[in-house]
Amino acid sequence: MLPYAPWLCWAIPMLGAVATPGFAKIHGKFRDYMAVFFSLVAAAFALSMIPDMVIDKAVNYDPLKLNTTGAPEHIPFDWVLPWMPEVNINAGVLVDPLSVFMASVATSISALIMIYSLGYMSHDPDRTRYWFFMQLFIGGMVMLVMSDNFFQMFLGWEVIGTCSYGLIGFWHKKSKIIDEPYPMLRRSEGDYNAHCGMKAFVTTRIGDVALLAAILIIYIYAGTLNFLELIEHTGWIGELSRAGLLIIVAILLFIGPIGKSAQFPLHVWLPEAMAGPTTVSALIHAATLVKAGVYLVARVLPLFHHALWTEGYTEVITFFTTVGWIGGFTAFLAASMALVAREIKKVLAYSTVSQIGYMMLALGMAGLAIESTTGFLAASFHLLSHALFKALLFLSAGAIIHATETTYMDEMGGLKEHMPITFKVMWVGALALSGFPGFSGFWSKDIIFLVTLENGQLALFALAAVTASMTAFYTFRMMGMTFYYPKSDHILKLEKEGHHVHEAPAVMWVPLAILAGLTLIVSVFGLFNFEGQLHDYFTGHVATTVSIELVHLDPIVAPLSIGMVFLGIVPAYFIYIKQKISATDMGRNPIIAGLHKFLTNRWYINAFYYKVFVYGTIRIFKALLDKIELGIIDKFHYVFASKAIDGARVSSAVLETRGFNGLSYFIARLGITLSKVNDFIDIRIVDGIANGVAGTGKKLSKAFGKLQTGIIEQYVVILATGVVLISIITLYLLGGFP
Amino acid sequence: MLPGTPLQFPYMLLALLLPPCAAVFLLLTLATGKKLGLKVIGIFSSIVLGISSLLLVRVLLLVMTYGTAVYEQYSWFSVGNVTIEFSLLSDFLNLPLSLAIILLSTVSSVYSIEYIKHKHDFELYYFCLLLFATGMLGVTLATNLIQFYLFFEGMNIPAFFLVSGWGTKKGKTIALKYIMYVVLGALCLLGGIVWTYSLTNSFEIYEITAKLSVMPYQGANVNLLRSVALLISTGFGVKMGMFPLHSWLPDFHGEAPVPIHALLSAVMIKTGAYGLVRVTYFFFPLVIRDASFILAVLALITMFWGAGMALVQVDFKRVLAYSSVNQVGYILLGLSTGTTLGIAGGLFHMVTHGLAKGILLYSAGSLVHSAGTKYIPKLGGVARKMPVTATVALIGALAIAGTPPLATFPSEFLIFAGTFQAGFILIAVLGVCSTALTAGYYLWTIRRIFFGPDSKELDIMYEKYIKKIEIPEEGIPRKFEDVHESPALMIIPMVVIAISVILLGIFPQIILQMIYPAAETLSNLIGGA
Repeated sequence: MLPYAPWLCWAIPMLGAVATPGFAKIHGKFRDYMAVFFSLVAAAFALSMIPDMVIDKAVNYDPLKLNTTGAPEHIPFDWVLPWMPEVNINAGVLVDPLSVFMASVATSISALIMIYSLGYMSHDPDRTRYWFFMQLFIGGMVMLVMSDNFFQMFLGWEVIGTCSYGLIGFWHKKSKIIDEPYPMLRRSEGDYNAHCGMKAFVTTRIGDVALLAAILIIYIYAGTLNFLELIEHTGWIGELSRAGLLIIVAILLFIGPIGKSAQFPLHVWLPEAMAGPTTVSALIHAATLVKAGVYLVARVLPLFHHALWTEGYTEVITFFTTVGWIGGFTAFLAASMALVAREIKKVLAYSTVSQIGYMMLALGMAGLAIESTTGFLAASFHLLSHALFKALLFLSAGAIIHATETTYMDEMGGLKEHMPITFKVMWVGALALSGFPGFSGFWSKDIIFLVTLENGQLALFALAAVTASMTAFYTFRMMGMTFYYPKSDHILKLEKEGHHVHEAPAVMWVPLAILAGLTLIVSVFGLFNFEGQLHDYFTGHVATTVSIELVHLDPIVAPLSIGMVFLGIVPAYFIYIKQKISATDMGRNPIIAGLHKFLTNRWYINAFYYKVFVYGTIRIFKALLDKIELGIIDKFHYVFASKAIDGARVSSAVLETRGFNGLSYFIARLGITLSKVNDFIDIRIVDGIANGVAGTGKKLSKAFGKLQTGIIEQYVVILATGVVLISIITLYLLGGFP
Repeated sequence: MLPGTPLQFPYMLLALLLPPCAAVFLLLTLATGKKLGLKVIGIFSSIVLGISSLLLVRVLLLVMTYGTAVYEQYSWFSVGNVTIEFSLLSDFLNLPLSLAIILLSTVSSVYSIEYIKHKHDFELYYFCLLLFATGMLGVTLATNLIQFYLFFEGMNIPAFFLVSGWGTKKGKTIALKYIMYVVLGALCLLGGIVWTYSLTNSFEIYEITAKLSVMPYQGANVNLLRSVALLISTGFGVKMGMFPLHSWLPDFHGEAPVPIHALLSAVMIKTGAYGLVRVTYFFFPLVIRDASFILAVLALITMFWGAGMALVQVDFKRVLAYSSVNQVGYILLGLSTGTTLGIAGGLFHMVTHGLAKGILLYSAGSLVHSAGTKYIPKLGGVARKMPVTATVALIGALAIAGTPPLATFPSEFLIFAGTFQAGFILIAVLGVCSTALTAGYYLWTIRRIFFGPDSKELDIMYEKYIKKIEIPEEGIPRKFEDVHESPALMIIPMVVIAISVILLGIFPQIILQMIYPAAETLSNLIGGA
């Protein structure tokens, strides 16, 4: 471990972010290279922690006496610094297999994306802003995973949320007028992008507030937010359960990841998140944002697993079942939307949602089994393989978009010859995503299927298997439409204009090649029982009571999984790659057409949300504003004033017969009497006074006369009355009040 | 007797009296007919306020050294055998707010130099500004109720003139509305004070606290105490803008000139909250404990009402004004819980919200100054022309929405933690949800103003202005092309506060260590956890 690695691996990118505007002052190129340099250093620091986890499990490391407990002797190792000691919230980093795993994946993939950005963003005028947010994003993510407590984790959680807001809406200056894809007041491409950023922020925010509520309840019941303290002293679980809050807390806690990882029902923001630069999409999808939700569930899994299996609070079963079902259903839902997506990035976006669903499914299954390690490492393995191939696919898509100047797949086609490198590396990613036997996606999904089946969740297993077919289908569809289809009109037009579709520059394809290489390496490892390695790596982190032998390639699951994958691949191969069957002809079938419409409209969930939650809220508050705020509360004052005026007009006799109807009349009467003196009686009080400055004002001091407001005298009278009142009362009191 | 350590040097008295002396000096120059010029007046006032700030910082350091409250005792007047003192006291409860008041006044004073350049009567403007600052500071430092009342109501006079004299055209009408409300509130407060005197024969806050806090145990009529508490709280509720007494707030704030709006929103309404704590909480802890749930519900309504109304406004300043109602709800929610965490959060939020709201208002002022309007539908794409203002406004908006690592997050966290601790689970969950609503309306507003396509409305406004068809109430219209970043004297205050918001978010300990002991005392008194 490099010195201070657990702190520096996230502090360095954050410092880099803060320093970016300064570097920009020196030179544009310097700023770009420094940003990449900082992210590479962060990756080095993060990766340097792995040996401590793998080799001897005992860190030979002296934290320079900053830590009061001295040198750590075991993993997990918690390094705490005082922050807010009064309320028992401190800053700290937790070094354990999970945090190091997440930090390593996040920083190393981010570093590759940053290198790629050098080429991809080379013409953008706002690169200072870009590098600032990207580095802050990486820093926030790593801080999130390294935190030893919920509070600090939530800080990172929100930092990445804010950065995603800034990055998704990054191109808010684009002034090209576009068609309105959704019924929203949106006037240009930049406006649409800004809207997308906001949608992402607000939607994930809904998850965040639920998460915050859960954290707060845990804090109140446990008195601490430190992960290690929470699992060491589990009395709070019992207290929560007795208060009937345990399951509520668990579900609230899970809503946070639902928002962040774009799971149903808060998945609607992710397709719009494609409005940002492709590198941002890659960062969000492969390495950081959406993985934060998976991380959080993995982090709290031992707590709830302990509650269920050691302490016997059976209500936690509901939590794990919810996690599993939300994951399984989201996997299916998103995959179905990916089948019909037009934009290459949206295919990948839906695919991410779907694959994250698999991870959630695995984590839910992990909790339902006594031996949670299998499900846990199924999720982690899939997280790793997905991070690699999804980064690869996104960056390849970026190269394609860069070359063809379009995001729509039906405007591409015939790129096979023009972009040979991208073509090859993208196939590696595509095969991994589709779960083609032998590739990383196959191995990781295999364990997820296995663990689902072992738990006896047949319905979820069926859902996952169908999703596997759909995944294979849309992956091949994407590859076919971009590379194998005949050249589209758009491409032909570009070529006619002299724009030659070309391969991406080296600074872009080298990271692609590295990612493809890593994907292949993981695929090969998968053949030689990579899950066993991971099992060793994670053992000790997850509460394991029964040690089991991992089955590599289950005789039932593996053939089934292969069969499902080919069920998706074969039709897609003939339709999109060989083009033996015409997709247009198929579209004429009314059932398929109806289904297509249903899926393109995203099951109408998005439209429903807009109608109910966005416009509904605005309409409700608009009505409240008109009817109550302006209609009743605000009227009070005017009614009050006009009543007072009327009263005064009718004459003091009437006033007296009505009685001293509250102090209101008294005050009003003072004002009115004064108005009478000034001959304002016929004019409404306010206007009258404002207009008729008249002589009285000038009689006051020369200075105040300059104010030119006739209300002065009135106010002075009122105030003077107050002073007289207080004096009288005081004197009266001092004179001998009982 | 006052608690704490007496001070040998009149730091607080000087801090309190310097601004009004300077104000009188400005008036004298006016009377002698000497024109000083805006720059001179502005810098002079800022320096005076700056000295006051430094004096208070010194008091803060002394309080931290002694570890107790510090006070200065002066006799004021005596009637019969009763002597009314004019003593000043600083402890951890009022120091954060006092500092926020005087520092923000200083910043507003600097900011005004550019902002009111196109207006008139600079001497009188600064005269009122200085008196306004004195009024607010006097409230926090006061030790007896007469003194407290005089400052509490006295600050309305300069506030009134500032809005009616230098606000929008509607300001004159609106100011009267304001006076109507605050006079009603003042009468309630006055009644409460007199009633309290009848119970305890004293005006000294600390004496009354000692006498009243034991009273319920001595068989006094609890209903009587409740009525007094209700009367006093109504007085403070008007000032805080608590639902349904908030009607004056959006109007009055919305029509005020921006530097004054910043003071009104950021600190003036907090004096109401401070009064609630210093007077009601200390005098009637048991009544407050009983009323805890009602207060929390009221706070929740205030939160949602403010947020909802802010969502549907079209004037940026009115969005901010309703947002103040919204945020007062948070403060009240924290205070209502009676738990240490909640009260600490509420007190902390007074300061952090003050800063965050300050940022937003100064950026609104920057918009009025440089883009010529604050109406959201007329703006759009301004971020390209005013990058600093846009960035700072975004920081402010995210801060108020409670986004870490900005300063309001720790305070909101403590408020909601306290609410959960008090057992108001549903209220707390709903309260946390309202932060999503807050984020929603703020980001929507920011997007409509700063992002999106270039505004064409600005050009139309400019045409109308040139042809004298329509002259806007505030600011001078510009063509979109001519919109530019505001001058340094406006930008620097914004950036300084924005940085302080970020720093306080990362190191909340700076203020929390002061507030926490005060909150502990209060919650012990109330009997919360």
